[in-house]
Amino acid sequence: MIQLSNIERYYKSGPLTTWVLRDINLRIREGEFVTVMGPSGSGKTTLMNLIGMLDEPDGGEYFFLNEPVHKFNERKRTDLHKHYIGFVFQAYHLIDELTVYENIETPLLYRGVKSADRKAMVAEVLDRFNIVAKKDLFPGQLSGGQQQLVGVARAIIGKPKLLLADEPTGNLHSSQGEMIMNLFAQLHREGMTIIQVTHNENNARYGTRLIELRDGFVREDRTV
Amino acid sequence: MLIHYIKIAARNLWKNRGYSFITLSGLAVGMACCFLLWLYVHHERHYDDFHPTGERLYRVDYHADFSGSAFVLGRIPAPIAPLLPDNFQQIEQVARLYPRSISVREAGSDKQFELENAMFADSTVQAVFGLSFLQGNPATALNRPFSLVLTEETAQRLFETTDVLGRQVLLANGGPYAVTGVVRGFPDNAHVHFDCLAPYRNMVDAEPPHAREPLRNVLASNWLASHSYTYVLLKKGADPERVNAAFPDFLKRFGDKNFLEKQAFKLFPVRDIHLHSASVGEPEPLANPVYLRMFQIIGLLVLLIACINFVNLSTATYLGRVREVGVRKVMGAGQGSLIGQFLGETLLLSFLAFLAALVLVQALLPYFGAMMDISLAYKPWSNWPLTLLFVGTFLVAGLLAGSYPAFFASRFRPAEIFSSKGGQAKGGSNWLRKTLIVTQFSVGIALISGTLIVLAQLNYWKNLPLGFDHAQVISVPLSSANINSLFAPGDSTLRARMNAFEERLKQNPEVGEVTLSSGLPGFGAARHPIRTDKISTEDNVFLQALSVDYDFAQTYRLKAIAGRTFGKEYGTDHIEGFLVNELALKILKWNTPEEALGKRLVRGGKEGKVVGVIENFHTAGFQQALEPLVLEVSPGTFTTFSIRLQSSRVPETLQFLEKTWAEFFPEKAFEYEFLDEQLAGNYLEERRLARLGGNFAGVAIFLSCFGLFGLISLSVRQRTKEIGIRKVLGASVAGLVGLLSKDFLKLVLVALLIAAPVAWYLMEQWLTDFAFRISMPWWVFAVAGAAAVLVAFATVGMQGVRAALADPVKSLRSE
Ligand SMILES: Nc1ncnc2c1ncn2[C@@H]1O[C@H](COP(=O)(O)OP(=O)(O)OP(=O)(O)O)[C@@H](O)[C@H]1O
Ligand SMILES: [Mg+2]
Repeated sequence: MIQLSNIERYYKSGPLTTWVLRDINLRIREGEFVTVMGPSGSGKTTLMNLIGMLDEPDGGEYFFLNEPVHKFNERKRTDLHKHYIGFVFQAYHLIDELTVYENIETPLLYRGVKSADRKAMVAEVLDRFNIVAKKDLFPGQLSGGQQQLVGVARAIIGKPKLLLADEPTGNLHSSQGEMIMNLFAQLHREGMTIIQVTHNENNARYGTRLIELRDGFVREDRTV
Repeated sequence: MLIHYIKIAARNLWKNRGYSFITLSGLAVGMACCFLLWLYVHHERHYDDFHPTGERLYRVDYHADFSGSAFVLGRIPAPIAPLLPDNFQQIEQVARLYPRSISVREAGSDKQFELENAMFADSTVQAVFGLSFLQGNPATALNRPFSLVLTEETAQRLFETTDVLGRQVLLANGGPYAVTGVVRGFPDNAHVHFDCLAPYRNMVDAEPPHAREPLRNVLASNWLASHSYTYVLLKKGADPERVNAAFPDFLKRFGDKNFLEKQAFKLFPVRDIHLHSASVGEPEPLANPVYLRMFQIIGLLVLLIACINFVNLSTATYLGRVREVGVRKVMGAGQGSLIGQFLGETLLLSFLAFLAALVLVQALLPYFGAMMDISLAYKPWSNWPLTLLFVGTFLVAGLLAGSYPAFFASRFRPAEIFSSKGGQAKGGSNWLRKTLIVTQFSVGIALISGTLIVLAQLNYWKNLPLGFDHAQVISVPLSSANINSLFAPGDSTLRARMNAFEERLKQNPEVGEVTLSSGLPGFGAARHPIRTDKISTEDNVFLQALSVDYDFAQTYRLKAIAGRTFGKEYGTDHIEGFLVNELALKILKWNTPEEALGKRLVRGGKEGKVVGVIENFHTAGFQQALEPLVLEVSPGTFTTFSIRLQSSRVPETLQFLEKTWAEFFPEKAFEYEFLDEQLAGNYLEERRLARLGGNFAGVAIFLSCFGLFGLISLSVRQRTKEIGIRKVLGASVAGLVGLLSKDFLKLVLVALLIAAPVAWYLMEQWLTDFAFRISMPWWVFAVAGAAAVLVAFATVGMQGVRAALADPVKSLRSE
């Protein structure tokens, strides 16, 4: 599903070049649940952004479903966001001015899903995540765990093939974190490909494969 | 999708409601100001557009060159018009208008009043102008002698109804005239206006009997005097240049052979008169095209400032929504839909501002009109080109404001937006914003100080002694404004009537001194050639001369410093007495006042000797220097009574005066004005300047504060984290406000440094024109600067305190 060859990413500030990712070669198949770990500053977020097409590499090649992402234009990338990729952020990134219901509904709007179908889909997700009662509240009125629940709901409502989660439980306490991880495990069982970043060993155990980054290199890559 | 957008736009507006209000009202005020100015300019540019005969309508102008310097006159000799249609095949119709003021009353009533714009007009006036008749037959209304066409307003004034056909009216106590029509008067934007129309030849009957025969001669055969406005309606497709080219031959055939070289007549388009006429003796004041351009530019500047503020302020709110852009992109929003969303939002906001501006314009129009001394109206549908312009401005403002977030949507990768470094640091070119703030405040400070200087100058004038006592004096004109009186010989009964009137007034203890003169002190006087034993005609000495009655000096409390003032008891003053003022001594080469006494003086054709020297007094506004002056007693040239009222019972005294006046001068309505108010009229233009300046200064400062508000809000948002951390580390609220305010106060100070020299330079130019002026009051700049700093500080401080008081935990967590 994902093939990265010789990917590199660096920042230039003045004469100095800071390497963030160097010579990354990765192949991720459909249905895998990958955990990315590594010390702070090792380039985890950068890698996720590249895979999620929020950022572009400075070198190397990236194939997504056998298509060359590095040659895509903005429109094509937008299309992939719409149909294949869901994101969960550490800071939730819900839209404050929209209710829970409307936040979850938004990706469907961009996909052009018909109103009746939309209603059914949102209702189903709300039901599944057990947040029907909260649907008319605004993000500011929810706890962190509840907000992240909404974040996950929003990410998966379009049934993406790939779910990217950068420290999804970083701001949550352990019981809330566990709830999210259980959800991920369930999605994984249903066949979704998931890549998560975490600092937490316990969370890592939910995955099927562990990739460890250090100083922009892949230091370890093993199946669990 | 659209509903989704509207929902989020509305919620954002509401969430930042204070902010939205400021954003919106700033643009609305700016737009309204610009609209008002443009309305005014539009009004001035479309004079005489309403005539149905429009493009074919011309006035014949008189190009005269008698004294070596050519000039243009708006009126031409009376005998020309009747000859035109037969001698120029291009001309369809001609009509003369002779305007004068005249006293009117309904026959049988003794309620008489003065009509400022009575017109004696050829019956063809209807065909030439295409008047709209409400009553009467347009084709025949002015055909018969002693017929009269009234405007609606005049009919109302006279009869309190417009259903007045056949009613009888007296003009200057003569007639009676029968009302044969009621028409709509010309609208405000006409170069000439009339209160009533009477047959042209009847102007003779409005003169006193002894003046009629000379006037008849003038009308029939005086080819020199600039007498009547003459309007020409050309045939369709006719070329005015052909008419102009044929005029010399016409003059050779009919005109006075002595003037052939010195006279020329040319057609001038009526629609161009208000802006472009160079003629002397226009019926009404013209507009200055330079001022109009200036107003247009000021309007544009205000609009521009308001638009940029709008963009700044919206940008500040969008800074909080940059993350939203990233999130939406991640969810698959295309650039197009994001740009559409944000442009839609700002367009909605600017549309609301536009509506508010329209309401403001309608509400402010009367005040603005009063300020500019015109009556303006704005009807969106009939003024559609203007409306289109306004719609254009709101579109541009909306698009500009929306382009910032739209730019974000297209320019940045989501990864950059989410990493706080990306989005916010690029949040704006602060340099541009700072320049804008400085510019705005400079304009504001310059306008405030300019206005203060104008006010200081006006105040200085108000307290300056004029040199004569004008308290409680009213002026009463002897006759209507009418140039036909120039052709009349003196009226022998008039002097006796004037004296008798004065005698009667003096029996009333409420009336103080009464005197007569050819002009009022304070309003200039005509210059006349002066000769003495030392000064010959070749020396070309022209001095202002006033003709005054014996008691003039007494009435105005003028003191003689040598010799005496005029007195009836000396018997010969009206034949050979002259008074000169102190300033005249030098020009006439007399070393001391005493030396002047008894010396021969010739003023024009009148010879006599100096009987006294008086103190200088101001013969004009303080804009002009004191001038040498000659006084004499020539009763034939008296035009105005000056009457001092004694008491506090002014209304009763005025009633008494009016009643007595009607007894002695039944042909002329009693009119009066307080001299104080007339003198204040000398400073009308300066006062209007102060008013305009004050208002625009207010708007400029108001808008500047909005701009400042936008900038500080932006900065506060950019520094939320910094503020949070500083607070956690123990910074005080005052310290934080200081930190935030410092930069902006610096900007205001820079603005002061720019504005003060510019204002100083411009106002110095303005002041140099005045003979009596203040020296540049430096405190004005201090006050203007302090005001700007204060307002700026209030604006900045408010935001700063809010930011400083915000919960640091919140601001840190949201990172
Ligand atoms: N815009 C940028 N400009 C310069 N350097 C950057 C930029 N963004 C990230 N970096 C650098 O790239 C490196 C990797 O950053 P990244 O966010 O990928 O680390 P991370 O592994 O996610 O760390 P953490 O566990 O703390 O989230 C860091 O050293 C960071 O300083
Ligand atoms: Mg990270």
